[in-house]
Amino acid sequence: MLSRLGDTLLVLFGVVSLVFFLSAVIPGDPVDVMLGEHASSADREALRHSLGLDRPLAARWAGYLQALARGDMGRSLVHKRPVRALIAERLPATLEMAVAAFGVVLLIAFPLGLLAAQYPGRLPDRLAALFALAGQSIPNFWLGPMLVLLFSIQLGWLPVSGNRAPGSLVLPALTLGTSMAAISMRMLRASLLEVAGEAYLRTARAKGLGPARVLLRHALPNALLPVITLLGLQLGGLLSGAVITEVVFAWPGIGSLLIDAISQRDYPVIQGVVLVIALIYIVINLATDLLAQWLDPRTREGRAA
Amino acid sequence: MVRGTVRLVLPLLLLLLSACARGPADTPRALVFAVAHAPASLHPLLATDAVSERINALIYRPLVRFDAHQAPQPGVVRWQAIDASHYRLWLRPGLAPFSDGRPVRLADVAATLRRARDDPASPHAGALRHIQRIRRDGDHLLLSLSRPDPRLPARLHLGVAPADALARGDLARHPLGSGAFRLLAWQDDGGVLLQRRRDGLRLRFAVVPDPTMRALKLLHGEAHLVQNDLPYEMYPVLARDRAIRLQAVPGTTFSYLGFNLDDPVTGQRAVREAIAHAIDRQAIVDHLFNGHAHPTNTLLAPGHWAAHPGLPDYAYDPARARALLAGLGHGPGHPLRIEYKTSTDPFRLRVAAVLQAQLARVGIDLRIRSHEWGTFFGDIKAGRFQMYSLSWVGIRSPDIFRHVFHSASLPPGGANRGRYRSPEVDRLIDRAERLPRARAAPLYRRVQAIVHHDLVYVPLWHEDNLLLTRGVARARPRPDGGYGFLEQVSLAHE
Repeated sequence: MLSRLGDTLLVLFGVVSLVFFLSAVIPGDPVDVMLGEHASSADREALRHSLGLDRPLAARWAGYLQALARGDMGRSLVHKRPVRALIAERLPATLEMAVAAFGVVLLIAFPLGLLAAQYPGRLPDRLAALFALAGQSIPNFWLGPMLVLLFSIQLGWLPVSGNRAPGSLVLPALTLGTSMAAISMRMLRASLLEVAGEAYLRTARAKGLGPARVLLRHALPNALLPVITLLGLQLGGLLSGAVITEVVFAWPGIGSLLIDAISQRDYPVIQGVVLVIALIYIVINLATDLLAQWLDPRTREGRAA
Repeated sequence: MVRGTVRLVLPLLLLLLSACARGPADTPRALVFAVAHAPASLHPLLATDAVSERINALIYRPLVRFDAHQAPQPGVVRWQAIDASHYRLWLRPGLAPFSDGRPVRLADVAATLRRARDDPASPHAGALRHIQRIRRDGDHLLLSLSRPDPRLPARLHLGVAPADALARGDLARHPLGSGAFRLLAWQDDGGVLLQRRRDGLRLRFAVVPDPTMRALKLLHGEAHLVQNDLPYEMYPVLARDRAIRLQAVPGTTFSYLGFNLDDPVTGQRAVREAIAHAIDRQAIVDHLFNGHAHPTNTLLAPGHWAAHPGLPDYAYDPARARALLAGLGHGPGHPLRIEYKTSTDPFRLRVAAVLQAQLARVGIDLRIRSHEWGTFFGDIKAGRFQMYSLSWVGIRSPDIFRHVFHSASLPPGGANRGRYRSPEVDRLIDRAERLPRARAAPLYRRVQAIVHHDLVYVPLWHEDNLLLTRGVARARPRPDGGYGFLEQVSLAHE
């Protein structure tokens, strides 16, 4: 556990440093954003000095790390507000959409995956394969507006976008969850078919258990491990801000905050959001590993052999 | 296992369903204006992005406003020029108070001027630095300048805020002005909820970055107003809906093709003239803009007091373009290669593709390089380009000529992106700035004639401002794209 913590800190240090230096070398200047082009060179230099942007890069980096150690992510150059406050305002919306989209993934992937594995090569499996193909092929920026055309414009059931109106979470969650559900469903099916020929399933059938009971009680728990790992990664992706879906549905999460910050060269916000995303990924990965170890003791360190 | 799965899935299902019964939507009286970007700051003196400036114009009354010909008119103050270096400013009678009920005082005007001049983050600092002294003298302020400036009033288009609020420094989030609207709340999408002071009408700026979604929100009735920033082919489709009204007015946004004059290829005037003759601007306006733009020859919009009314056209003439290129040794077997930089905006990329096809017809091989906005703009300012296209938005003052064409305005201290150097243009600009409007106008027209002849840029078009409304009365778009019409609008069914 201690070694995992050390690894985590090392990864965070690497991410923070990489993003800091990349932000510094990408073309574009936050002073342009703040002053526009009409300002004189003297005014630009004065602002650069007041923001500390004229200090050597290494000194800025060291200062940033020191502040970060105190929990200070800095102030947005554009919004003139603490980055922590901006992220705290946006994170709940991202969490809300991620959890809902994860629900969609589970609701679609498990029934379809079980059905496909139960009837391999037959109509249910083929239909599930078709869904998987469509789900993975259709990009979110197209699927989103199509769902809006159907459910909002044609049927008038749901709002188009935003997060204020009743039901506004449904379409973003469906859009985001569909492609991930397709991948999870295929993984579950493959995993179930892999264990289908195992001796303990033959034993279960020989004991007279019905197909559904064999599938749910004996095959599914043993097929879950790779699916859980995949779901963990997907949840990490969802929680770290599904940028395209947030932009399409005007969903005020950290993904859209990051996009705005990049276009405005708001370095402290870029660094803060990426740090939070990295943290989320690390925590989710850790949780996934722990869950996998709990489900399958063979994966615990030192017992794999 | 089944029970476990149910335990996991059921709460998630309930969460999804709960989303269908959540949160109050806008009250029926709230007008919703869908915009592409959130305002970055509601500080009257520090905001630089277009949405912030337009919303600020609703919250703060300016010291000086502009009329239809972009001439300065009294706003919060009226002025008197004692001479070109000394001005008196009086408060106009009958001013609306600040939204907290306090009256606007001369001390607020003085604090506004000082903050705009002295704050390192103020985009107005450069234009106001020559205001040496701001002193109260009885019922007026006396401004003393370090150099004569007969057009100082045009530089005073600044929103007025209370002196103590300016000192506190939280106006960006908690604006306090004497304008027609006041802020009720920031929205979680970064937009704002305003209230019109005279009748309590609520107006919400909803941030909807995706243009298709903005159009769909209007179709669905979730938004009442959308202005510009939609693909042009969408306007007629939306206007077919009987509930939606489309209005267009000629705008002041000016688009042009810029050249790097330090480049050995685009530095040649003959190359630039060939490009000017090879481009069929009318065809682009007709087919890409659906007619919602107007080919132009100069940066200032028609009707501006300093605009040149009679610059000659570089007419669409491919034969002339080919002849010019042949004179430089280029032809079908030896095409001229030019790199063209643009942003990743889909519409600008379509324009680039059409330019590429039109230039190919005369033997120019245009290589399109599109970059994310920050990278693209950084390249243009750094001179890493041969040719590019950009627009000037909201131009009011002929000061733009110093900013764009004076040799002292090379980036990063100005926007002379093409690295144009003309001693004559420099002299004309320097002289014009010391003269009152009537005497400066001929000099500015001469500047326009010279840069037009030199083809520092190829002028393309002025874009219309297009306003789509649904269920809104008395909304009329303005040439500068400002939101001033919102002071009069009402919900149509009222």
